[in-house]
Amino acid sequence: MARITVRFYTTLKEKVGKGKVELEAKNVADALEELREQFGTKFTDQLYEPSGKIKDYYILLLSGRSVDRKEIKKTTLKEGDILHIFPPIAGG
Amino acid sequence: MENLIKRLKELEERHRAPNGQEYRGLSLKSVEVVAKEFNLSKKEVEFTALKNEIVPLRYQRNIGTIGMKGQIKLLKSTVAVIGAGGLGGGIIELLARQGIGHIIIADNDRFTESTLNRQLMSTEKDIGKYKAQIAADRVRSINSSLIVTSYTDTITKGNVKEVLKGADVVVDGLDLLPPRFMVAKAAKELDIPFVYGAIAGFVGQAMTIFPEDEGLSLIYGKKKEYPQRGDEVTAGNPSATPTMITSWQVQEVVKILTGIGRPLRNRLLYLDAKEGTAEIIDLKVGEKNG
Repeated sequence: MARITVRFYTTLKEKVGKGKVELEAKNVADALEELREQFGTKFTDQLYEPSGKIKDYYILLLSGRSVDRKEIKKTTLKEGDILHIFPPIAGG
Repeated sequence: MENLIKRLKELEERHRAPNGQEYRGLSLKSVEVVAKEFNLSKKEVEFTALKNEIVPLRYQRNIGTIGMKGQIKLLKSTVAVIGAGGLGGGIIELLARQGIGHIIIADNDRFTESTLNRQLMSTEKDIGKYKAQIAADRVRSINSSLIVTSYTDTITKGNVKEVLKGADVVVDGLDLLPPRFMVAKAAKELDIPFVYGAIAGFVGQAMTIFPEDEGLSLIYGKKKEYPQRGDEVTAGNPSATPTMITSWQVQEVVKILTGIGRPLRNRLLYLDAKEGTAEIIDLKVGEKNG
């Protein structure tokens, strides 16, 4: 288990009502599960498709590295990691 | 050439910079006179003046920051701005004032009433007109020494390289994700740096991508399908957010062209005006998670 910080941005931040949260988890999949327990549909409605799949275009960066969503279980966390979760922005 | 330099020296004026130092300046009128007399473009006259340490007054306040050499480099440069809306309009305005020798503008869209809140080039009288054409007129009215090329065609895989050809930097003024990826890819293939920017609501982000950099996939991952739009659909596009990002994008262009400073490579600038926060997220290159 590693203690990490999760950072939420823009609409996701507004929906969950917080910019960051600290939690303990082994890997990215566990961390997302923990967020689901903490924030319920406020979190899941944003990040997941109705099918339960993570929305393709959401940006997940673990301490600056893009997270491959097929590998979220294998993506282990280190103490002090930051998981950034961004909704995409595209306006111009 | 000697006659030209001699004539420039005749017409130069003594001015004082804000720091009290005297400098040799050249007025707009003198640039025009010399261009006519020697059958040269105004840009060539300005260029020759700068090389001889005579500063066209329009660039004087740039010189302390980028030097004569920097201004000469900018005048010799070509920058392509893809999109002339919220981001693009602000970028074009600043590039013209900065003195970028050739500005390429591409946008297939026209101004509407709903562009008035944030798109600097739009005015009530130009509703219904092509953004690229109005932006080109604006450049000419700010700096008639510059060359401006405008395209009102839709940018496609088929024509994108033709539009970007010859550019030293490509700047992102787009509002949809898929064309952004297409333009970034074409810039990479043409070996041209690409300055990315995007906005939604009170937030915006920017990054510079050199041809050898991994680029947008560092942020968005390597996926095939991208949505057309993002958070801005619900978060809106208020008046001040575009220029919050366009200023950074233009600074990136100036840095790339002059070699001054440290471009935002592999670093995502993320500004949140609502929270009053500015962040740089270091993107890790070529490393896998896990």
